[in-house]
Amino acid sequence: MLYNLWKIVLIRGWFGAAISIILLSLFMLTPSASAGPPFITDDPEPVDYKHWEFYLAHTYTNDKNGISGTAPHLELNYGVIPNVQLHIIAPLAYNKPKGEPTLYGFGDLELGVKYRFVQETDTCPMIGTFPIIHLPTGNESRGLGNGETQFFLPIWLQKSWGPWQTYGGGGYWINPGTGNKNYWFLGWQGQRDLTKWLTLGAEIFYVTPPTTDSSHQVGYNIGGFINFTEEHHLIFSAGSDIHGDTHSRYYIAYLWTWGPPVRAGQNGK
Amino acid sequence: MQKRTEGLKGICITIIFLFTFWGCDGGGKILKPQGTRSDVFTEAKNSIPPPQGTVSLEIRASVKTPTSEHYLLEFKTPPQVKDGYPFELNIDGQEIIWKEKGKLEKTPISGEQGRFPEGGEGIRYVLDRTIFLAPGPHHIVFGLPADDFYTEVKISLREEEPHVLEFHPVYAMGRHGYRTFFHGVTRSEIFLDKTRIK
Repeated sequence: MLYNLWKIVLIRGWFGAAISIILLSLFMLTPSASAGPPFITDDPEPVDYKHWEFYLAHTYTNDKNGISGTAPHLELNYGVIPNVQLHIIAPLAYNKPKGEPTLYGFGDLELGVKYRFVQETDTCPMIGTFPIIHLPTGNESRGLGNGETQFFLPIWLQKSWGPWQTYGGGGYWINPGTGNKNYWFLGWQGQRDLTKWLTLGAEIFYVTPPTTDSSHQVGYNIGGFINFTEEHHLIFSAGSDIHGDTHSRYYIAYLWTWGPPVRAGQNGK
Repeated sequence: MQKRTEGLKGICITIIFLFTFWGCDGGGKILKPQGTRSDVFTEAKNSIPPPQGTVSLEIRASVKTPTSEHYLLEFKTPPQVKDGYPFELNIDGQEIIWKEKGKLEKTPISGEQGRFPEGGEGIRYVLDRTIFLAPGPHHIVFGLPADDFYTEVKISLREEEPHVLEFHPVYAMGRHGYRTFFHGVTRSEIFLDKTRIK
């Protein structure tokens, strides 16, 4: 089933890109919720089998076009089988172009499947992919949606050393629409556990121009996790562009994780 | 002003949910019991048989903790662990604390289906002690004071049979729901003579 889904994503993605490259898109005004919370760079590790993650999140981006983001967006992840996670983001998006009133409404729905195909060992990182599709459910004319279906095909790697963890990789966005260009995203992140309840990290990322009139983007974010309990967390990040159009951005979310208890030594065996 | 309103709306909703769910795990937490008696059990030493009118109960537990260098901003060595990791047992009001020395243990992080809860480098502490006590029903509280964890169970011991009571730790969830000893013990499963009783 998952193989078929993967095939559909691939085939329709390239087909959609080929036939809609000339259509109008307002990508730069479209809030995108896709990320590995709280960072834009993602990791290859799916949610544990039969476990759930629920995010209630808010994003804010201030760039040359104005202010945009989500308020809030809901994200749900589920470990459907070992090493595979199903993913959905339903955003309420806002967009305030410079000198114009704020527009608010449902944004583009995000669906994805994360699949880890190499496990981490002492010497080898875990490797996985996380194809994502953005459905054009947001109102394009109000700047709340892209107006076209977008696809992201990435490869992610992750490695841990005790309290340190680093992950990153990159992928190719199929970004149809007049004035739009398919583009690459590359990012890397590092983090450290400081206490049982606090982890801090930072990322740096590079994006090739997603439109014909935009430039390369190099940005960074600093963020972390606060664990109130094993199930309830606050996650956050904030940053800016080193080279690009974004003056500032932040992400904040409440994360609820739950699933069946697993005794020491049983998990994964 | 208006441009900030949308952002504040999201933050407010997030904060409301935080306060709604904050402390949901706190319910049912067992308070550390007081040891007021000394006539409930005696610790077995040198493999002597149980005295008349008592049965033997072997207490087993094994827990893995992060090394003292793991967390940058926490105690290098928690005060409770300086002379051994404490395992606390209270039976019908009689209390005993055993402090066990640990061994550095490095195990694979993950297998084919994901992370192992005890994968990685840490300190392994093993408890294996035997006590003698009267057969019949008993109320037992087992604790790991260094992890601020206590659990309780009622058992009934049959006469003239050695019994084994095992505490298996369940570690707290880490990123993406994977349980890991790096986050400490959050609950336990309890087995009496290999049968799960809690």
